[in-house]
Amino acid sequence: MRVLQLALAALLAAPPLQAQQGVDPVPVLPHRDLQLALARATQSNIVSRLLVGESRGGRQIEALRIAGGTLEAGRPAILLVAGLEGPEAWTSGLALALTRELVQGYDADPAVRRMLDTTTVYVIPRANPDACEARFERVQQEVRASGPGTDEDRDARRGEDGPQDIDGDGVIAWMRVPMAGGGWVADAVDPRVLVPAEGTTVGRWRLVPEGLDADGDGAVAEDAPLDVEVNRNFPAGFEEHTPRAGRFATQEPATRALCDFVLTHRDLQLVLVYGEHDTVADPRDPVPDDAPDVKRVPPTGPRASDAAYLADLAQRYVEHTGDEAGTRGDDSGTFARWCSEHRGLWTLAIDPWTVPLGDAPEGEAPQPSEEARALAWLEASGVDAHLGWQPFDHPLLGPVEVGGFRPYALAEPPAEARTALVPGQLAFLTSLNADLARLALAEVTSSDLGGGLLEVRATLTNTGRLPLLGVWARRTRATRPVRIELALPEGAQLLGGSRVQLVEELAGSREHELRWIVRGSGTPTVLVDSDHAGRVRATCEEVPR
Amino acid sequence: MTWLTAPLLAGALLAPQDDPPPTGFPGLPVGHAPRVEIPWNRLYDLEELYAHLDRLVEAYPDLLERRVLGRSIENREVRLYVLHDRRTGEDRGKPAMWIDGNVHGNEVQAGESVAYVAWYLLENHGHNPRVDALLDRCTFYLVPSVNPDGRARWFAEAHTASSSRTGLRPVDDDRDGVADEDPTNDLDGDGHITQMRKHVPGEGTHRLHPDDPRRMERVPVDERGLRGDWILLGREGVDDDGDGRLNEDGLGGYDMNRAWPSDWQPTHVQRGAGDYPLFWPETRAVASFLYEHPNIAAVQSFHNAGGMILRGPGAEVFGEYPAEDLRVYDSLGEDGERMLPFYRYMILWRDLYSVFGGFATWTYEGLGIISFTNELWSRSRRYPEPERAPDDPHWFDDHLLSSAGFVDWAPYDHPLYGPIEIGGWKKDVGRVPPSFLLEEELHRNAMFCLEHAQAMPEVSLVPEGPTLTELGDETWALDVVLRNARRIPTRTARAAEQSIGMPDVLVLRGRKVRVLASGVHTDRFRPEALKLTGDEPRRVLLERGVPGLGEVRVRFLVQGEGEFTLQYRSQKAENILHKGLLE
Repeated sequence: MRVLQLALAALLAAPPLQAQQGVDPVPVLPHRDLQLALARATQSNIVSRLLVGESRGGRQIEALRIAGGTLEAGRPAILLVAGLEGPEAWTSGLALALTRELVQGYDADPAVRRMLDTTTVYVIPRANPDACEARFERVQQEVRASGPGTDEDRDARRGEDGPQDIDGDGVIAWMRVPMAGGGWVADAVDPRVLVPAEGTTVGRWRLVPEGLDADGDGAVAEDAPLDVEVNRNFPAGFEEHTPRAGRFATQEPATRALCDFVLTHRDLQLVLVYGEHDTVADPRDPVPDDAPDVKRVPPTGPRASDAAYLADLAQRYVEHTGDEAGTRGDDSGTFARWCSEHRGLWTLAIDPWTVPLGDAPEGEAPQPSEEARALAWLEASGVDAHLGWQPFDHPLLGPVEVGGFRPYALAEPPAEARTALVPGQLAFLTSLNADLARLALAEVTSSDLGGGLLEVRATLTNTGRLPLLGVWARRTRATRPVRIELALPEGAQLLGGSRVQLVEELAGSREHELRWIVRGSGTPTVLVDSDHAGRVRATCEEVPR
Repeated sequence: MTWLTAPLLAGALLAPQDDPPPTGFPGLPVGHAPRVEIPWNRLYDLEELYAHLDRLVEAYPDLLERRVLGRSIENREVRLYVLHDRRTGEDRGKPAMWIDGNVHGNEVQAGESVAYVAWYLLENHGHNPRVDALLDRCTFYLVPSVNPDGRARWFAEAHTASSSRTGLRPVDDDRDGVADEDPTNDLDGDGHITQMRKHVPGEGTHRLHPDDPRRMERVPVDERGLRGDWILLGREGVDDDGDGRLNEDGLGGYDMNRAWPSDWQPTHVQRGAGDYPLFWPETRAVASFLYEHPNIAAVQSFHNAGGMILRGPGAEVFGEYPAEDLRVYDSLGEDGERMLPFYRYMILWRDLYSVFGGFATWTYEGLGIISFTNELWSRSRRYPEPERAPDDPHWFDDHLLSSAGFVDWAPYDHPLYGPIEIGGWKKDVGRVPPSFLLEEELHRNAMFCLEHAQAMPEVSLVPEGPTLTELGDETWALDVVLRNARRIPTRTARAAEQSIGMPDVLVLRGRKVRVLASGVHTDRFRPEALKLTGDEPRRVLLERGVPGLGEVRVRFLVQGEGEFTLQYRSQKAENILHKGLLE
């Protein structure tokens, strides 16, 4: 066993998930390197760096704004957020790779150029730098929480008994404790993998996090020093009184900074979130457009009309990426849910990679669990994904074995798989340009009604596929409607119609007719003003006399 | 301190002393005038109110301290005044009562109510043993105005009784891309926002009251159609932004009492809630303080109007509060109904209206603290004998206030409506008491606060102390009884059920003492009936604390000899340290 442990230590000296020779196109970067990458990105004159906020740990959260052409107010925008959960630190690299591809595509690919000349893309590659930084600590551990600890074990002490690297192998993993009825048994094919004992099977092990009983209360690692997770701390579906959610929504500086970013970027129409939750493969069931509130609270779930648009986007995502896996999971208090439920933004939560499963044996042979098949795939791909089980004499639990899946092994794709994600994700992202609602004003005309009266007509068009505002966006009132104003020249008088009107409802490829009756000379101007679908103005053509 | 009382009183009878000459003002024993005179029959703008409290700080530096919780949107201080006897310990070491007011800027007498509590306690300190005991044992955290911007503007500018409720962060109420561009306008420049009416003979919805042309009556609709001579045009104003609507985008436009984190809902569910909980700096400053002061064991928030003592839940979806806590609520609420004539003890969602993100619902549901919101001033107090109350809404104003509360209708040439009339009730009518009733209102509500403060947990070991029973072989049973002399438990049921804050803990230590086992007695007649402690028997954890007017009996089974210490720690009661001897 000593030999094995030494071999393990040698492996650990190298980065845990070894990149290929040469430059990794989708690198997994610690915060400092990520900041350098952001600085490098701004060498392109279509990229600027924006400060989103500062994390609890004092790390800067930044956004890149990618925009060619003229940056007019009201230009539609897409937001891409990555690195929201600790185990998903690698998605920051994917977001940066897409940034790089967009910048290069701006010069090389007409479709990309067209997009970036009319649409703003914001990328927040690492929304939760504190939790992601655990990925690069000397001692490896999958960390989700970065906010203050609570008294989880209710012993009037806070965060006094967290997981520890008790065998000094540089990894905080799992302990299996031999115990009849313990709830876990070995997988039928790969005995390293533990699966829950089901049916009449009697469990052989208890599975507990690697740790001691620091507070001497007989429980191991039951009160970690950190509890609150940034991506549980958003207001939609927030679970008060659970340690991982935080004491109140937006308690975490990173959470609040992200909210403020969305609130102050009123050009946003569509949000993509890379992380653990997936609403593309696993959307929430829709509710009818007119679903009534229950005791004043609206039912959760996309309104049917909105869900249909989201389903179209999801289908296109699958066509471009081939990624049909992923689960929504428990998305209470997540950023994506807030964007959609409280802000009414078109939002897709995307888990861009799920471990493929190795082949299952055919016929009567014992069937491996999904975890065992995932492990088989990872090992076939050259990933050192499992630590094995090393005996350890635990001061409280007696003889146990320490090991299990290597931290991040199931969450993080190997380098080749990461690289392979880029083209599909890019194609999907670029395709969204045609979806965004965009206002156009067909020629403004006027006709002489006689008696000095003019009838002014204009046609407002949404040239995108998505409605100007979805059903839910109209309910949340978070995005302001289009404001249409008829500006009259000096001396002209409005005799019919509204000088100022607001339009909320305009489906994709649809028109909205506008009419006014005016008296006087000169040429009226129609001003169309929105925060998220463009601003246009058109002056009446020469009045026929 | 008690031995001092007798000689002082004797001195007062026999010899000249330092106190000012007798003035006989209520609330103090005859023979004492207040050090700080504050007329309580009037309202004060923000600076005046703060200045009065600052005078109290100056006069009572050992008892009152001024702090700044944070700053408002318009950079005014949100001030906190900390009141307690500093000679008896740190403010954080004592159970504390939080009292605030005026989160709605227009609900002004809430500020005076908070200030009166400070003034009453300070001026009675040293004269009244109950007040002395309260300031020894408890801390008061007093915030006279959670919304200093709203208050300042309500006094300084033309308003109605209901306007300036909001804070001052601009909001685009009419969603036209510009914020706060179409407020009401004081067209006649009289310092009040009143109403507009227009004479449209035979085409109106209203007519003048036959007995009093100041009053408007709706004309009943019948088959002959409209036949009134007047229409009402709403609050005084013009269409500032030319969008065809009047007064639709005034200053601010939100409600800081819908912003608190428990059961918070976004603006499209709960109007005025803001974009996320604690969205505004005033609310975040207050919440940070409350989260960081787990010693707060009682909360009172002052609003106007309606004569109500409100408790949560704020929303029907919540359900109902645990029965143990309701007993405390009901007991205080019933006291309140006796102390506050015409006030009713009510459940917010059921008896008033439903509110998500309310303050006192958060302090209970989120922080586990027994909390009330009082809606100050009941109009019933104008006529304490209801059977004698007239129908005429002007009668009280005409006969008891010389018609000072009403702006008589007067002609005005409106840019859109042409010739109209402007008139109506002034901003200080309807939601605040008239001057001669204000002091009574403040005093009764302050005394309700003190009743609530008195009820904060006070835990002691029973006077006879822990009892020892020898079990042989140097082993002992040590029985400890913790008794709470007050109504509020050290851990409300809500706090216990939701794991809010820390449980109480009783720790036994001794150099030569080993704790073998411990537990909480569940049956006083069966000493072995114990709910046993876990793997650490020297620490007995009390998630449900010590109940109000009740006790917890703990047994330690120990081995050894010599000195031991018992330490009781609670976030909401003073800690206890007891030394004893195993013998």
